[in-house]
Amino acid sequence: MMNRVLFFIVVLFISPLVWSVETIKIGMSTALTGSAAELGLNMQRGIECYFDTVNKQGGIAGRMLELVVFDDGYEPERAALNMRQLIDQEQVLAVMGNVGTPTAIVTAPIAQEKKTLLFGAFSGGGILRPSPANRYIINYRPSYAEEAAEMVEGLLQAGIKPLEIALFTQRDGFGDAGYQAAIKAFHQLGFKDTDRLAHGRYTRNTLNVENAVAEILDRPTTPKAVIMAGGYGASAKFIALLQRELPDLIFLNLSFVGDYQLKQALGDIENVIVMQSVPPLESNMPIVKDYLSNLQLFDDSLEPNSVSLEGFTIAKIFHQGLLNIKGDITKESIIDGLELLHGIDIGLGVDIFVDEEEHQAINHIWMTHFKAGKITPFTWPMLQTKTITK
Amino acid sequence: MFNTRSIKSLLQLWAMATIVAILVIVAVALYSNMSFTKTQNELTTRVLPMENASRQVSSVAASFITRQKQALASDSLKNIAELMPRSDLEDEFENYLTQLRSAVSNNIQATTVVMSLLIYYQRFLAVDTQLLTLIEQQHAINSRLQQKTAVIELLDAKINDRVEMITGKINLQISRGKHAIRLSLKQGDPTYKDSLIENIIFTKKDVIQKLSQTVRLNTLKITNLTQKIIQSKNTDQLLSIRDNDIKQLEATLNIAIKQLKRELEHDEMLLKLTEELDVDSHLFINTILIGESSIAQLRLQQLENDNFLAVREQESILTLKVMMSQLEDLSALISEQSLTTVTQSAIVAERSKWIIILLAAVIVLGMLRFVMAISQRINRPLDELRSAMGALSVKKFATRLEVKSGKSEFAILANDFNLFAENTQKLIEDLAEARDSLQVRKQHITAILNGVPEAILTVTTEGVIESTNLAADRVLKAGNNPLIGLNILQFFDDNQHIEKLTDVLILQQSSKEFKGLYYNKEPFYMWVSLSPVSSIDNIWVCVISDVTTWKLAAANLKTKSSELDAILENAMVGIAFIKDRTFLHVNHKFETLFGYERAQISGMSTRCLYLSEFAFEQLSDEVDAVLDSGENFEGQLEMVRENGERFWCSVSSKAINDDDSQQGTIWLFEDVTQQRKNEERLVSLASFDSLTGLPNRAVFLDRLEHALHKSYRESGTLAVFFLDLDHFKHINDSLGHKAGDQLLCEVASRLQSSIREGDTVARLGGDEFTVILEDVRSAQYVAKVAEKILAAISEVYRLGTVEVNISPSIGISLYPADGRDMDILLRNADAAMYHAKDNGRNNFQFYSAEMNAKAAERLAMETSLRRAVELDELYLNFQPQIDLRTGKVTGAEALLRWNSERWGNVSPADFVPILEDTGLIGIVGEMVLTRACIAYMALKDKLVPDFQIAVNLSGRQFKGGQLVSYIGQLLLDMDMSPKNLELEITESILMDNTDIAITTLNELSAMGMTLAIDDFGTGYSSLSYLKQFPLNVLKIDRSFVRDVNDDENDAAIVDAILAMSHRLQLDVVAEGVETKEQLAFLQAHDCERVQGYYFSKPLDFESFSKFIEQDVQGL
Repeated sequence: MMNRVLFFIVVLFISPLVWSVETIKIGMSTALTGSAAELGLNMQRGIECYFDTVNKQGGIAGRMLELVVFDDGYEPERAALNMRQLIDQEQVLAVMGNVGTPTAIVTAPIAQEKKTLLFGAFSGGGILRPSPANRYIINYRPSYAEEAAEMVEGLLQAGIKPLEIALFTQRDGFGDAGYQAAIKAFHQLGFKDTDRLAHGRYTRNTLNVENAVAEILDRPTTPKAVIMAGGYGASAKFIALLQRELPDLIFLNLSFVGDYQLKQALGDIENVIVMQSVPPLESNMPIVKDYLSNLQLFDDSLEPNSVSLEGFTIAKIFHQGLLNIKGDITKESIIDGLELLHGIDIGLGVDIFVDEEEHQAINHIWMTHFKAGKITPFTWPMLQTKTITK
Repeated sequence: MFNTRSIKSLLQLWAMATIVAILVIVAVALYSNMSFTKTQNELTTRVLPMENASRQVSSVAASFITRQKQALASDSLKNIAELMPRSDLEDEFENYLTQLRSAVSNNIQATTVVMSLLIYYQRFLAVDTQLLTLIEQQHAINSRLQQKTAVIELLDAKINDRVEMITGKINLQISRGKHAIRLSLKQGDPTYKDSLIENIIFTKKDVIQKLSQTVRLNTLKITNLTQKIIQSKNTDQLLSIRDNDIKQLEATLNIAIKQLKRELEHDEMLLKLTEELDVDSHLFINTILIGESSIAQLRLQQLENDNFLAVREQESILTLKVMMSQLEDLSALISEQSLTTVTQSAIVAERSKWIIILLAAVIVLGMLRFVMAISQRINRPLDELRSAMGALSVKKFATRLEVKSGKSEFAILANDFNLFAENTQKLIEDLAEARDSLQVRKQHITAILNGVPEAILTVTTEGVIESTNLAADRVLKAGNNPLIGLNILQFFDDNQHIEKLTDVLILQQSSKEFKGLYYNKEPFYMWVSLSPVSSIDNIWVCVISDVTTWKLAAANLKTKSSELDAILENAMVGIAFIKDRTFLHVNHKFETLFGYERAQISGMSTRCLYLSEFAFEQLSDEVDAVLDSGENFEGQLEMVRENGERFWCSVSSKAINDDDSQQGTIWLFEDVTQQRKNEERLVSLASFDSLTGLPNRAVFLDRLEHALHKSYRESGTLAVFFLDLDHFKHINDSLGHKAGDQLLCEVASRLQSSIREGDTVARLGGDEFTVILEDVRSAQYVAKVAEKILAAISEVYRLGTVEVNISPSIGISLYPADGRDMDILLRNADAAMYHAKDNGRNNFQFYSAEMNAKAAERLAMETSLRRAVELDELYLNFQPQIDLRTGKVTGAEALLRWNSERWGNVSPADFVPILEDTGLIGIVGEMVLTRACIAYMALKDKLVPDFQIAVNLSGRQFKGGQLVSYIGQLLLDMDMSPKNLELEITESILMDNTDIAITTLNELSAMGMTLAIDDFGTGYSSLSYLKQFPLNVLKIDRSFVRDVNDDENDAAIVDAILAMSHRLQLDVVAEGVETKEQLAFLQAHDCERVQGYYFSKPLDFESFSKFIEQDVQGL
């Protein structure tokens, strides 16, 4: 009898708590339609998969994580509108996982203006990496500059001459960032005559890459490698068109392209290398295993890929940050929590580090290439072997 | 009648009559009071609600118009939905209107006005509804336009995409072909090349590329023009864009697409793309041009709606104006009605006042009559009695009094007397019979005397009482105390100053009534008859009777009349009795109204109620005139309270005696300040500028007209000022309209305090003010006022936290000197104001006929100048500059010249300002730069390498921001080095727009041009900008050079400039060198360069080119 009364009282006390606790609302503005839709959708799935895992274990002190997603179609104007709506109307505590550099160009100032964290954007653009660091922007992935430097350095070390390297970039902030980064890397490695490099461009959100292909074909020196800063759709078409004349050409892509999405669009083509901000799915990293098993639980119809792995990863880092918060979860305390992540191992194989000055969680770059119809890990020596054998 | 009654009964009768009269007075006063209360009630229950309702109606009407304005200003349907619902306003308005209707229901005239108000109100509602519908339509069209614009942008992007696809595919095809050729050449197979070159794409690549670009370009142009259509201001512009520009582009576009199709008809894939392109382009054109929902049509409809809107808005404002004027009529009616009510009440009060006065007069007259009757009733019998007694005393014992019937005291007395006389006679006869029996005789006398009711005393000459009768003890209330031996004088009141018996004798000649003292010293009124008995014995007989009772009755009567005063005292209007402009009495209300104590004001002059001596005299005279003619005076005037407060008073005055106002006047005062305020507010609503409270344009014109009439009649002079604030727009632009409004209010109040009370300040709108000065004695006076205004307005303003300075420009015209009619005066004041502005602002100018002539001449010159620019009549002269160190021509100043057919050689000082004002300076300035550079390039080979051609720049040329790019392009086109171009600027450019000047000059300097400062020393000559600006050369003004040998000061200045320039590392050019002496001075002081007639006047191009070939003469 006494027990039943107690139980009743407990229920009385708990039930209003359970019902009244608000969710922790996080916003996301990304491309769910258009040429970059695959990236946006996979980021969303990755984050939601991780959030689902946390929510199933009772959320954070009973509060559920909720992701509010708006489609911006990879268009800056819509992204700006979404960002304001998320912060002002939806009252989200942070925005995470946005896709794209042109969209970041407009969303980063809004985050600053509204004092709301923009976390783990799928972009290596410089706009998100100001010096000194901006309190309201925290990144996960390395910059395009770092990726481009890695590519140029790797190619030159593999014995390819600068003038045998061509460039293919999108005609916008992202493409220009990639181009600038590559040119800077060339300069740093001692090659100054970068004006002579073949360079093809195409318009964002179109597949009009023919002019760029023509530009590279018209070169008297046959290029051996192309550094590419483009979306997966246009990049796939570019690779397909160019491989007809130049089957041995090596295509190096910035991570933004998304290896899985590019592979989907291309079919069985080799000589394609993609920079990665997460470990390859074939690696045995704990986070990859964690991701693969949780994705299966979350929705077994989904194919694992590196983009949704990145979504999963940033969600995990975000969660670690939330766990550091003592007291109320607010826009500001979330940032404070993340800035306490000093050298944490979340299963990436490298530690993540964030503090007031360092707002980029990792500096490590992974690489994959398409081999025998699969996406497998790539290292520079593999290229050397390739060039030597040819 | 009185004769037969006793005094007592008469007194009773009189008391009755008085009471009746007083009752009547009370009744009248009550009636008057009731009537007054009724008036008050009427005012509060009818007139005030009426006025209140009328005010509410006008305020709701204002809300209507506010709402309409908000609707007009709205930019979306959502905004309109956010407006206050009109039904609220309608309910409110109809509610007040119903109130108004019920309030005016008994006034037919007012009811008519209200009915017509209702009709106009319904008309207003109808128009407002139409207006709203139109606005909603506009917004609907707007949102459709936005959708269409989005479609256009999408299509534009799509067309772009297709063009890019087509060109890309062609390029790729060609590149692949080339690549294949390279491969085949490497493999030694040249045949492939030929087959490829035959490919149609190869041959037509350029054509296709060009056509594709045409498609892109035209699409882009059409998109831009579509924006123009959306922004077009009128149908003409729109139709022109649609039917001229776009149609043309459309045709080009269609032709290009058609050709593209033809060119690509062999390539299936590209043809398909082109056909898609064709479809898109048609859709694109259709969306813009074709059909009811095309952008052009929508915009047309919008423009048409705009016109309708303007008409409706006008209509609703007109309706509202009519409503406002009806409300004004209504308030006039209301005030008229309230006036009638008040007047009626005043008439009632007036009447009751006169009834009361009349009754009071009746009482007074009755009293007089009564007193006379009493005294007659007493005096005559007493006289008769005395004379009878006198007769007795002279032994006429047969004397008898006439005995009247009735109960009168004197009838009894007469009876008694007759009895006494008879007895006396009998006694005397008896005495005669027994003559020697004195004792008997004495006893008889004593008996007689004792029978008399009056005290009869015999006294000595000194007044010592020797004997009394019995009645004496009673009359003098001596009781048992002996009177004999006392002095009779002690029974007279001391303050009658009776010292001896003869005094009594003298006094009783005028009145026998005395104030007496009883034995116990109590006062009483007595009637005394003193007469000597015999001169031998010195014995006097004194008869005293007590008349106190009668006196008291008379006094009682008097007090009754004072109750009348009490009624007047409590009247609700201030009442004053005034005689000879001096207060006699005032009532309580008067005391509260004016704040004077009655004791204080009684006897004071009525001057204290008036604002001024003049007002007092004027009104007193006016009132006197009215009252003398037997009328009542009524009027409203401003009066002053004891504490100096002014207030409006309704005054009425009446003479107490209509035939003779000198006898005194009665004045009624009533405070009507509030009533006046209400009336004034109604008037000012329509006539005053709502921001500053100054008269508006209409009132100003009205006043000016009146003032002109008055001046005409009195042969007086008046002045009209036009006043405009300099650069007021800057304040509005930089600090916002609120600050601007605040400033305007402050200006208005400063203006008002700068002029006399009778003069007028008005605001015409914006920052324009006017002033009318009447009765001006001299132009000096006008100038003094203008100076005062300048000083007042130029003082610093504090707007919130910001301090602002502003100055006015004032134009003045005088009547009759500058014009006799209003329009001419205004126009001339306006012209004078512009003159003031031209004279550097912050000053005032009297109008002069030259202003018009000058303006006309300037206009004519402007026309000629425009023609001259068109016909290229302006040309350049060049004045060489000589380097004194090398003796070479190292530079020349390009000088603009105009030789006009009509005006002859016009000085640049005259036509350059016109070029600047008209904006022609832009074209001409560029022309000068171009020609100077052409001239230099033509002579380049003959000139020293560092030769500098100097061109003057006008301040206006800095404003467009195009100067730097123009010069840059010019030098590039000419292939001329910037170091050969010197730009001369004046000091004023640097002073006027420092910011833009700094940037422009820095850019020019950075491009490598030399910058010279012209006419140095004539302007502000501040050393600070020599450092601020990237200057290289300083040109000493010719005025200093001219007197350098004669004037020590000029020599010192030139010396100082040269010394300073060398220190600042500036080159110096001395201008206007004409003599050898001047040259010597300049050489002695290390001047680098000179120009002037000594070497050469400004030359035309041919002469100049010859000049430079010769050696310089004169060094």
